[in-house]
Amino acid sequence: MIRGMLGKTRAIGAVVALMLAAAAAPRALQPQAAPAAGPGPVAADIYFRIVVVSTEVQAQAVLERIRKGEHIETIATNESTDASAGRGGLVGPVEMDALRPELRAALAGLEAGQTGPIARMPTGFAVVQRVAAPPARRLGSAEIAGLAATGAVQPTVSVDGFVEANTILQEVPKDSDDWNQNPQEICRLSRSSVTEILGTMEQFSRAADANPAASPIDRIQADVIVGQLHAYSGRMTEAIDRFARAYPRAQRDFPDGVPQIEEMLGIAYLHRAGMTNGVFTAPGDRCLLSPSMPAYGDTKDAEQAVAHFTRVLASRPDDPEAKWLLNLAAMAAGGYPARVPEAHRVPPRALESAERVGRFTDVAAAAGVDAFSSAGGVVVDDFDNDGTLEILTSNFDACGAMRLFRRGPDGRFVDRAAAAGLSAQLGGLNLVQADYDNDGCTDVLVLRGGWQTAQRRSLLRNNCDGTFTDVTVKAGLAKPATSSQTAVWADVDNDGRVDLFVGNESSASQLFRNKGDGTFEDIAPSAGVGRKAFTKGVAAADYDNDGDVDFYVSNLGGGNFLYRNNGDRTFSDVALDAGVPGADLGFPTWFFDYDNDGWDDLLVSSYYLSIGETGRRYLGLPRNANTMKLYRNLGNGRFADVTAQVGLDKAYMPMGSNFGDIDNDGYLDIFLGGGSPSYGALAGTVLLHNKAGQAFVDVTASSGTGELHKGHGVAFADLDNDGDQEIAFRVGGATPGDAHAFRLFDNPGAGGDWLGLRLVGARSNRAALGARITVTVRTGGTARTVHRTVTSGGSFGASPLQQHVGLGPAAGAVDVDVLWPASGTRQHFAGVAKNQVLEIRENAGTVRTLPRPRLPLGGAGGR
Amino acid sequence: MAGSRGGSVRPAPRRAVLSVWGALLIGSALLLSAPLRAADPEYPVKGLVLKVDRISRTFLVSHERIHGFMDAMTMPFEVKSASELDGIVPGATVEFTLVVGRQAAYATGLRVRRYESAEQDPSTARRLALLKRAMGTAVTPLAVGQPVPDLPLIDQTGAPVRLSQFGGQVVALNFIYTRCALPQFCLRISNDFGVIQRRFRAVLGRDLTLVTVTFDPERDTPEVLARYAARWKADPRTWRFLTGAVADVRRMCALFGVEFFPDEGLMNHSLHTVVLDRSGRVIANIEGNRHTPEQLGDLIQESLHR
Repeated sequence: MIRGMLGKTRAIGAVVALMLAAAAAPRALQPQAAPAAGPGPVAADIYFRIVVVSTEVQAQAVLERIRKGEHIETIATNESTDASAGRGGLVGPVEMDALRPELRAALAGLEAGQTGPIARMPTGFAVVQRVAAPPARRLGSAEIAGLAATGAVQPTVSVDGFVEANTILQEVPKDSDDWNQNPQEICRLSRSSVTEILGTMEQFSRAADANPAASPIDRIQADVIVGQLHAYSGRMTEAIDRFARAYPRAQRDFPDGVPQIEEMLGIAYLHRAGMTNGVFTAPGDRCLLSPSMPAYGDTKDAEQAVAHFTRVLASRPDDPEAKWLLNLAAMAAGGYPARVPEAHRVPPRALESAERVGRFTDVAAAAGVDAFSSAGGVVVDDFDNDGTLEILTSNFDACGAMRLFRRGPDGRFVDRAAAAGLSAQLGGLNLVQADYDNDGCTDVLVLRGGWQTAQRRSLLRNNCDGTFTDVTVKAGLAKPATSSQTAVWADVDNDGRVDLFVGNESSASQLFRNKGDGTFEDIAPSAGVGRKAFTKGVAAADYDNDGDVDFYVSNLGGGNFLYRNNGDRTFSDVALDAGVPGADLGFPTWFFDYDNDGWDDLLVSSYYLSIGETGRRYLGLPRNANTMKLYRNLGNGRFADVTAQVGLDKAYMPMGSNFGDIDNDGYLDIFLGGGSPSYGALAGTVLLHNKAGQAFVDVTASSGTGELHKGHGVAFADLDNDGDQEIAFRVGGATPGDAHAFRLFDNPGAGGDWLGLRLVGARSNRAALGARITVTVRTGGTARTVHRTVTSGGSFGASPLQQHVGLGPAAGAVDVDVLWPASGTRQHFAGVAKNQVLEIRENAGTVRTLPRPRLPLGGAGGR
Repeated sequence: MAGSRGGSVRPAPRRAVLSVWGALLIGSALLLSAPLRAADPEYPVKGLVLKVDRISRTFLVSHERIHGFMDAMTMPFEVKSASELDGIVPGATVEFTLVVGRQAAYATGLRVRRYESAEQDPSTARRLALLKRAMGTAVTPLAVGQPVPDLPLIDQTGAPVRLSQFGGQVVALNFIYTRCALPQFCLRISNDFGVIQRRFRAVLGRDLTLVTVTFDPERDTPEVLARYAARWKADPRTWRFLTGAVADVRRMCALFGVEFFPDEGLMNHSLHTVVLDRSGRVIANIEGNRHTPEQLGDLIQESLHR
């Protein structure tokens, strides 16, 4: 609680903090503490007993009996409907922040032994009594599930048709069990089934309208389904018509449903406003979050959205989702902040950055990569070994093709996917690269079926001639098809060949051992990693520096795994012992050494699908969602949760995300895309600047990277060879109606020296995955080290395997050390020149400088 | 008090159960003792139907507090014509007007209040169920009185379970998935069984078995279910948490109209609590989360004494 207040104060400034203190009076009663200088602030733990009963009358009777001397423990044991009845109603130690808002209010200001007012909760009516701290173990989030703040996270209103389309695809008859082995068939069935069932639903709706005996709720729901299916394909006018038809029907027959339809109308108008104004195809600054975001040219639809969100707030004045959307709609209409009522207004200061790192420029259009598409993955790497980087993207749309952007003769990127033999590779939410056959050319794995039904993945072998071949079947990776959007390449047995760990959503994880003959075998069961979970992210690193690679598995629904490599092709899950249970709605994850101490740390994102939580963050209200976790590697097999200490204890909803060094200071920064399928899920991107491993500061607005629309694959790469990293960002939503132009944020050049390192393995895998790099920089009389492990970064978006290392300003002598994974060989190169790209070969005594042609991107930063 | 539940929230581990006729007699006596007035007073009543007896034109209801008249309790009510009971089944939530006359009291304007929620999970599930209906892929759930076919499932200890093995006992079933994030849905109905487990401790395993079925069998393995069950200290012999092959679980859910649709890793789903009689026939199928655990307990109590 204390740290929550301080964090917000830091982020949004004193004015808002005062507002906050006034608005959240009970919380302000908590003692204020100075910012913790040491390791982590003190947790505001409390203990209490609780009785939950079904009715208010019962709750009043309980209060009365407690007043007359009955023990709350006995009443809880015998009568509470909450799961805590088994513990005599005892809850704690828990942090006040972890509790539902109603409970926080009831407990506020109570001394031990005092009983609070009745709290009305979704599970019943609660009576709480504060108790002195008994000796007890900390309760897990599952044990307080009914009381936890996370249960108060508001779901986002859907306008997208995504679940409808998924349901149709699942229900529609299939010609063959192998339909999901063929991307063309998946495309055909996805498209034709939605079209066909839209017709069926329209007919059903007409029949229901004509039938006086039909349920009025069915009529409303039929309208909503038809509207959603139109929205799915981006026909917003038809969607609006249908929602508008449902509206008066709901007023008459289902008044409880009116605010939701009202909000759906607002979202649909706001989405159409973006489409009409070309915001999705040629966004410019119009969807980059800042207090002065430019208004749309035609504001008619945005005004309609404002009117609808205003009406939602008339019936639900505290709804943070509607408030956030009202502010965004007002920006589009040119009415922010003046025309947003003060009670609903996000203060402009909350949208400003606390510091400046230079403003990035979106050069995608000038560079020729502003491809308009749905969600997808991205890999930036040098697939043709010509010293320039390509951009490879996949498309979540089942009928969307991959794109391979190569530099053309004029320097602009040109999509060469067809020439590369990728035309048949439709669909795919994520991509990961590696040189699995050690031929010196980077191969790619396409992951499909994430958030959907099981679909075949594709292993695309790079033929070293500019083309790729789909070798999935031959490699033994085609069957069984799974729903997956995450995989990581790593050499688990140090045999010099990269193996493949695949995380799945509806089946056990797979660990494919690379047999070296172009085929793989799944050893997950014998390796002890074949466990089922809704896995959304996997990452690899040798976290315990014992010479073999370990895995972290991030699961939506918690219960994450840290698989420590036992060195014999088996693994042990040590997540709990190591202190990395993770976020409860885990999504992207990665290892990175954020504090440059030589031990890879771990970031686990938390994906609460709630625009309400985004609204609460900007409005300065306490969050209900649990946050991402940053775990600092203590170097003894254990990690410390430093999330709050470094200021990352905020509710984001990250999808595609990655890390890189935006200012060449040697410390890795974090870029989080955001959103969910709903067209109203405008969570926005967040760029967090790493301050020397001590804190992460939000520089979203000042950097000009705060894209409001859906953020998927993210890569950091120096695409113009000017010594700083660009951010390549596959913006775009989950449905054909939510496509968006690709963003390429050109780094303005933040200064600082740097070094590019391309490692080539000999005994170790050729792409050097898992190799450890230590760069020592002497500036003046001081030396500092920067640590990197060769990976493509996070689990949703792939940066080049060539490592970009920021050295800080005015770097003096630079030494490079490399530790190779398979051989355990160490190399030391003293006094290398900075600001160049070096090739280091395993066992070679010397380094080679690689050519570095300047490849301007057409923006201001491409000097 | 005429009904089987007092107004207090005191524990009632084994509450006296009266026959409909007995309860009606005492109930009528109580009603007759109501003060005489010029016009017969009328009270709106809402409650959960426990039993319907067309011959005696009565229905038994675990009703909410009747403001100005009586606390929440179980009461039989009479209607003037048996046809007013058309479509009224155990497990239905009903609303009606109680008219307290000088000679007798009766219920009028009896109507079923179907569970309709504007909350996202149930309303999306309802919408998608309608989509399935329009596509012709929906399955009609079992009606009250129909026998439940047997399906092979496994419990939280990994033991194989078929519902038929509980023959001779009343079985209460509900349906959840363990990652369910919102407390008012799965957690609330799991809490219901926590309360039922306490109230019927003496007969659990002998006359009554509780069964919670996951509709996320791909992730809710026996181990996951065992961890979930531990929150309520569920005795695995008397409160079974069931999972199984996806197809079997789907069939099991379809029998009772349990709808579930994956959505961004979570589920949009409907909520159902079902009571089966000792011969494995459906007594009641309660949809939603608006009943209290006391009402569910009253339904089970009534079912035990059938």
